[in-house]
Amino acid sequence: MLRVTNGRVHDPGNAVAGEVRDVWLDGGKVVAEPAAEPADVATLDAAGCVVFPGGVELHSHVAGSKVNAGRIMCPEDHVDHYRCRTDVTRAGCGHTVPTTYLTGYEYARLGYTTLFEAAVPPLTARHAHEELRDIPILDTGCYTVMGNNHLVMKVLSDPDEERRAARLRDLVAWLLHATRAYAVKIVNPGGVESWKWHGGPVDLDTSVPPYGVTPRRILTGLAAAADELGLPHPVHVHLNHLGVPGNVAVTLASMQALAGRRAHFTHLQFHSYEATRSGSYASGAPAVAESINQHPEFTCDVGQLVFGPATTMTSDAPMEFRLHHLHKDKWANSDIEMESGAGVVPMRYSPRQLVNAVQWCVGLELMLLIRDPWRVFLTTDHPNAGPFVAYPMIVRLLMDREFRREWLEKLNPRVRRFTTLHELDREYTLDEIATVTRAGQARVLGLADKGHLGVGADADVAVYREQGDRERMFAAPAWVVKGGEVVVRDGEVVAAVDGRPLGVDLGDPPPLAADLAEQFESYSSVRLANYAVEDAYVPDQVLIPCAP
Amino acid sequence: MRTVTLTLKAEPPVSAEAEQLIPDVVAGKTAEEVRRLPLLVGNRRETVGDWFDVVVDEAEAAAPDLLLRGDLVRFKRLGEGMSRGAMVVEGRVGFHAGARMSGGSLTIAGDAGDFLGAHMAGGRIIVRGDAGHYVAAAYRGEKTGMKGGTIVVTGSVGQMVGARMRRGLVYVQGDAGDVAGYNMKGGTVVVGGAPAARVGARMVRGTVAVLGGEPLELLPTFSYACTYAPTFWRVVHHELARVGHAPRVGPGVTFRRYCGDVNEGGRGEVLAAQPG
Ligand SMILES: [Zn+2]
Repeated sequence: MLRVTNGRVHDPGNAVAGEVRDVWLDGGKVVAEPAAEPADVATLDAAGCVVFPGGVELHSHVAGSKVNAGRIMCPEDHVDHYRCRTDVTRAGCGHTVPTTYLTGYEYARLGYTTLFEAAVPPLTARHAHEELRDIPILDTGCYTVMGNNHLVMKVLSDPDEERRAARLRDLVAWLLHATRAYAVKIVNPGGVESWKWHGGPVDLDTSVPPYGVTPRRILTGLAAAADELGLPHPVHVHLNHLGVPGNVAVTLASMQALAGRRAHFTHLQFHSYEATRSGSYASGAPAVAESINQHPEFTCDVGQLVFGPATTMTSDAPMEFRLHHLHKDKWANSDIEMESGAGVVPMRYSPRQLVNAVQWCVGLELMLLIRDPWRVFLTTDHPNAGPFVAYPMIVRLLMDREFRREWLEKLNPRVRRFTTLHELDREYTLDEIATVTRAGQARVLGLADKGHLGVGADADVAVYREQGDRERMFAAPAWVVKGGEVVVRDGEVVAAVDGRPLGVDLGDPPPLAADLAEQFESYSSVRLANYAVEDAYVPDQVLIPCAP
Repeated sequence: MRTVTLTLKAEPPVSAEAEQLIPDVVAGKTAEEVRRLPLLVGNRRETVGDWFDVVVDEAEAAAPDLLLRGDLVRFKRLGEGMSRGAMVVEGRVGFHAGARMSGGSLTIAGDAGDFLGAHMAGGRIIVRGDAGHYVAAAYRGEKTGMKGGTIVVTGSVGQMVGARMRRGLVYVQGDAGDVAGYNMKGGTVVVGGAPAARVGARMVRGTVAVLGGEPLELLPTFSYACTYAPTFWRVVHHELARVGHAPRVGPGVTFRRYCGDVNEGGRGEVLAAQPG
């Protein structure tokens, strides 16, 4: 039994806002305070500390083929960033794309205990699970990309609305089960497939070859299927036109199309740009934040830009192609058969670059203008907008408007003409930080045992020493506890326990429909029998119930 | 003037990383302090004193700040990142000698390994012997290699000399291996002898001057421009003479000029000195 005592507990899920109280942990769970002092209790004296639930990361790129491509093509990311092994940790390297083990250690060192890989095409799911298993300490899961999948689009091309919905629901269940994934991911719906046919960028109602379905139908169809299956996490949407000035129009139209359904919009910062008269970037954050404010059924994460090196990697292959043509530097591309695409391009964001400065402001504007912290989450779309190790600095930017002002001074001065960040005075409270980094994420993921410290919750706890400089405070937790074991002490990993894989309980989903199976066998590079990820790749997967 | 003299006691059985052995670090230290400096030998953290006899003494003004004696071919990163002072190695050195250095002078009386002066930003390296591959080059994945300073190699060098370099001067008195000046973005590589295949491949800007003359095996993406006596060669010649390595072809020599690599815009040049 472990007791965390004397700390000020911030547990927004249970409306505990900085009260000094004890947290008792036993058998991997939070337990009620025992009536009598037990004999075998270890105590962490958290006087002068704040006690948070373990951090929950709902959108990051940490495992699978595109992440590995990023590692292979960026040796410069390793040369000055390596960790020697210690008695408890393995060696690792990489700053924007760390190796698997280092990824786990670095997340744990910030107080995170749960982690989701945000984009896995079915064909590479086995690889993604292998890497997720290598990531120590954190419980992990992944989302399956479906927004450009031929089988999905074929089903969606059925004119019979009812049959279409029923067949799509079965297909989504089958795909999730085959990939042992946690949620449905949509990336640039229809846009990746259109690019493969030499088509241009798609709008919501552009008909996409070869099945003639529109992004609107893909979005609404998959959102409905996720709802009807009762998946714990709603559709996780990367919208069309990522990174393009003026994309706020398609962002708002997509939100309109999904109104009334649960949906999570990811890295909204990349989707919230107005176009200036000369076609350059201006902030569209106020309009997008207003839309989120008005739709309680929506959640989002921000994808905050971090100045310095980054590695962009996404299934949005046409976007990466465009990015590559910006600098003409290295670029990896992958055509994932009938499922998706993928691209990788290293980047460096600079505060003097007007575009980057606008992007940086847009992310913070969204965080400050969206009023409900339960519906906007802190991410950097790691490593696309920057590496996750920058979280403590972003927390400080949110909590400290003077620090924000100092940073605004360092940006390209023209940024004030195109953004409103300098007008925003809001400062996040510790409770709000606890919400946007764990409680809110756990809730939208449907993880009832995570993101809070109520009795029955997983014994995942992060304890930070209170100090005025919030960046330093959140960069080195006094303790991090995972599953009841102390894994980090004073910002260093002291035990590398194993995390558990997370999945959804779909029961026994129906087999793939005969016509789809035939299509699969005719055009795929693998046989259907070898397609699904076997149990051995996700041993003891924790299955979260669906609520259809 | 103080000189720190390190004499190798015995060659280590595995590679050692000696980035601590630069004038910047040893300056002002006593012999005992120098002995205690860390030295990574294989995967073990040992000390300089474990492998070197250390003497600190007053010497005449011309003596170096740091003098290393012995066959240091297993010692990597010697002189890495140095910014001032004079360092002399009497013997061979391993990979990355003088990499990332920004000032001072490094003299190696012996052969040097790969990545000599990689990412160098300033200062001077003289090698009295041969050097390996990637002299003055960029490390894997990086966009620009050497950004300033001067490197002279009295012998020959391996492949990819000057790869991705941006500024600075490299003078190889002997021959150069394949793809000299690969993807250069500026700066000058002078090859006293002959370069091997594909000189200047993917050159964006910059100069590869070949003093050994023709025939050159040039890529089809290079085209003949003119024969002339460039003024800048006088400047290069003067600079090399200043560091005591004046090329045997004079400052007024004429070159045939080839422009390329057309695939990268064709703003680079390969010069071939003409006899007479
Ligand atoms: Zn992402």
